[in-house]
Amino acid sequence: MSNQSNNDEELLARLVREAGEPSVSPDPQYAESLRATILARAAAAKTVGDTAEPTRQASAISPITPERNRKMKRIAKFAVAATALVAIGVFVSWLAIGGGTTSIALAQVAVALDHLRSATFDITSEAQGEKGQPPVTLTGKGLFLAPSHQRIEVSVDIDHNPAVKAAAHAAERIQVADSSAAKADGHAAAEAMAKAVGSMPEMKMNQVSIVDGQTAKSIMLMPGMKLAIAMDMKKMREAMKKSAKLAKDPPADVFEMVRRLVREGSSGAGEKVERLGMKKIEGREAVGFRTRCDNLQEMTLWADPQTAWPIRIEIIVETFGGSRLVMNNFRYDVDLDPSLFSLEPPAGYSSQAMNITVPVEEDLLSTLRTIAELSKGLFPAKLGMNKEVMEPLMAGARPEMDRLTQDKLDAEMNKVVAKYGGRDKLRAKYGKDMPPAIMAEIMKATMPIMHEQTEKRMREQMPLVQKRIQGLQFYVMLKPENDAHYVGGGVKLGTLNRPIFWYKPTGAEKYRVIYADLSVKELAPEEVKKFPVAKPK
Amino acid sequence: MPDIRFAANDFFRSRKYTYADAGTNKGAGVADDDQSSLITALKQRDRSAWSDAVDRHLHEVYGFVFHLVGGDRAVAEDLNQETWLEAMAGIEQCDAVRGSFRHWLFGIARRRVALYYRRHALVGNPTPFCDQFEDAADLEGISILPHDVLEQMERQAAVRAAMLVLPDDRRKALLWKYAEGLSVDAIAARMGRTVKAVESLLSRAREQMRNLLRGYMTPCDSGRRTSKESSHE
Repeated sequence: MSNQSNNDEELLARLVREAGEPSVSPDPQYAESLRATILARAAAAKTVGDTAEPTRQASAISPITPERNRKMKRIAKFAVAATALVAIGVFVSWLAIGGGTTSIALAQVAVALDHLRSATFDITSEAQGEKGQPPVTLTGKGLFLAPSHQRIEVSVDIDHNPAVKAAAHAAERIQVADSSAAKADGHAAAEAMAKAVGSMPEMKMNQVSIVDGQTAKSIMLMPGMKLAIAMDMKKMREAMKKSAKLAKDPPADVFEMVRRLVREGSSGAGEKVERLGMKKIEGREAVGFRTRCDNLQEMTLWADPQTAWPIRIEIIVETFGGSRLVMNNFRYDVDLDPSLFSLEPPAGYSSQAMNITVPVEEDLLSTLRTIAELSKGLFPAKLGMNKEVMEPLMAGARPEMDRLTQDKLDAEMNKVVAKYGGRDKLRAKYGKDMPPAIMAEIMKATMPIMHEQTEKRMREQMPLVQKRIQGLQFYVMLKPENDAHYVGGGVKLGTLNRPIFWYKPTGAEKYRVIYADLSVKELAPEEVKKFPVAKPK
Repeated sequence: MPDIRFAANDFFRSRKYTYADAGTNKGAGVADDDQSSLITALKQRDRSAWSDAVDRHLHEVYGFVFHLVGGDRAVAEDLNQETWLEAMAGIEQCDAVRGSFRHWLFGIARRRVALYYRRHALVGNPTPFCDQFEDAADLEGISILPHDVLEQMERQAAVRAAMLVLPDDRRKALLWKYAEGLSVDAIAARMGRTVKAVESLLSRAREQMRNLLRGYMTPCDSGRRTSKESSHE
C-alpha cells in the first residue's frame, strides 16, 4: 500500500470517526404524510393519469364573438376572458427558486387535486378594457365534477353602457328635434335612464359554459337569448396533436389547467415555483406558491396546509392583452347533479353548432385581406383584438335592423309615450329631465325586441365572425420562439415586394414571410434580418 | 377484488427479488434482473413497489439531505419531498442498466441540494434541470455535491451525508472499522461474511467515500473523474 493510500485511509478513518453515526430520522408525522402522498400519487397515476389523461387533455376553445356595438364587444371581451384560460395551450416551464419552508409542498396540492371528486367555487375574471376603458369584470360560479366536467356560470359587468346606448337611441326618438342641442339633451336623458335601469335583471348578460374534457365537447348557453351553441373540439384536438405548433394540448378545464401547473411545478418538470410562506387568506391560515411561465401565465395558489386543498387561486394570462382569473370560496367533494353538466341544450333553447378548427396561416392571410379591404385597402397598425382590427372585421358581419324590428320598437315606445299624453306633451313637461321611471318603462317595453335582435345578430354573425377572427387566433397562438413580426401598418393591400409579416414555424429553419400582396415566401433568417425593423410580437 | 399488496409480493417473489441488493450498484452498465424488476414495477406505479421503496429509502435520503443542508429540518423535509416526487414523475428515466434505483434516487437528492444552494445565491448559476437525470443515475462515480457547492459545506455534514449514500453493508463496515475500531475479523464475524469479503467491502466503501468526498480528501483518484462530471460542473 503506498504512502498516499495510507494517508487517504487515515484521513478517511478520522473523518468517519468524527462524523459518527449518520442516521437521522424524519419527523414521524412528516414521514407518514409523505408516504401517503407518494402512495396516493402512485395510485392516482395508475388509475387517473395513465388512463384518463389522454382524454382529459381535450382542447376547449370557445368561440370569440365580438360584435360592433359596445355591448357585443364586451361580450367578446368576456368570451376572451372566460375562455382564454382554457383555450390556449401553454408551455409551462418552472424553476423552483426555493424559499421559506412550509408544512406542505406544492406536490401535495397536486395530489389533492388529482383526487378531487367535485368542487364548487366562485370565479372572477378581469379582462383589460379598451384603451382608456375600465377592465371588463366577470363574476360567476364554477362547478367541477371529476373526471373533467366543468360548468362556469358568469354574468358580465357591462357597466350599463349598453343601457346608455339603448337609452340614447330611445331618447333620440322621443326628442323629435334633430338639432345637436336636442341630441345632447337626449343623451343626458339617456344617462338618467341608464341609472334607472341599471339594476334591471334583463341588463345582466349571463352565460353558462359547460365542458366535457373527455369528449372534447362543450356547450355555451345564453339564457337571456335562450341560445345554445354546441362546440366540438375533437377535430381541433386531433389536428393539434398532429401539429408541431403546440407541445401540449390546451387544458380541458380550469381545474385541469391548475392541476397541470401544480403537477409540473411540483415535479420540477417546469421552471418556477416561488414559495410564499404562510398567510391568512380569507380568514384561514394558508400556504402559498407562485408559479410563472414564459410570458404567458402566472399562478398564485394558496392552499390549506392540512388538507392541501386550494383556498384561493389567482391566474394571470398575458395572452389577449392580459386577463386575471381568481377562483375562491371553494367547497370540495360536494354532491353535484350530473345533469348540470349535460351537453344537451335545455328545453326551449334554440341550438347552433360550431366546429372549431385549428387556425392556420391561410386563416391569417384571409383575415389580413378582410381587414385591409374593409379599411380603405390599408393594413392596420397593429395586429390583435384591437379596435382598428375588430371594427372592420365586425362591420360586414352585422345585419342591419330590419324594418319589421324597427316598426316593433317604434310601436312599443309609442305605447309607453302615449300613456303620458304623447311625445310632445312629455317634451314640454320634462324637457331634458325625463323622469327615470318613464325611461325605465320604455326600456322594459323595448328590451325583448332588442334581445330578439341581438339573438338574430349572434346567429348570423357567429359563423362569419369566427371565420374572420380565425387568422387572429393563429397570430395569437404564435409563441415567442416563432419570432413573429408585423410591420404592415398603413401599407396598401397589393403592394409588391413589401413584407408585412414574418414568423418562423416551430422546428423550421426558414421564416415564412407574408407580403402586402398576400403572397408568401420562405426565406433564410439572414434575409429576414434585412427587413424593416419591427418589434417581435 | 385482489389485494394489491399480495399481488405485488407475489410479483417480487416470482422474480426472486429481494431488497437486500437494492442498495448496491452492482452491475452498473448491465441491467440487473432484480433492479429491472423493481424499476419496472415502479414505472408501472405499482403501489406496493413504491411502498417498499419508501420504507427502504425514505430515512436515508432524508438523512442525506438533512446533513447536506446543515441540519435544517424544514428545508430537509422540503427537499426530501421534492426528491421523491421528482422520482415519481421521472421514473421513466430510471434505467437499470445505468445503476440501481437507490443511486438514481440519491442522484436526484444530490441535484436538489445543489440547486437549493445555488438558488440561495451561494454560488454560480443554477444547473439546467435537464441535466438532472443524466447525473442522477450515476452517483457512485461522482462527488457527493458539485465542488463549488461542496466548498460551502461543513465537512462533518458532508461525511455523514456521504456515508448515507453508501449501501447499508458498506456503511456498517466502515463505521465498525473506523468509529468502533473493530478488526476486519470481528466485522466479518458480525456480518457473517468471510474476511476477504469484508476487506473487499471496505475497499469499495473507501473508494466510494473518496469519490463522494472529493475536495475533502486527497485527490488520489482524480484521473477517474468522469467526462460527464467535468462537463456539468
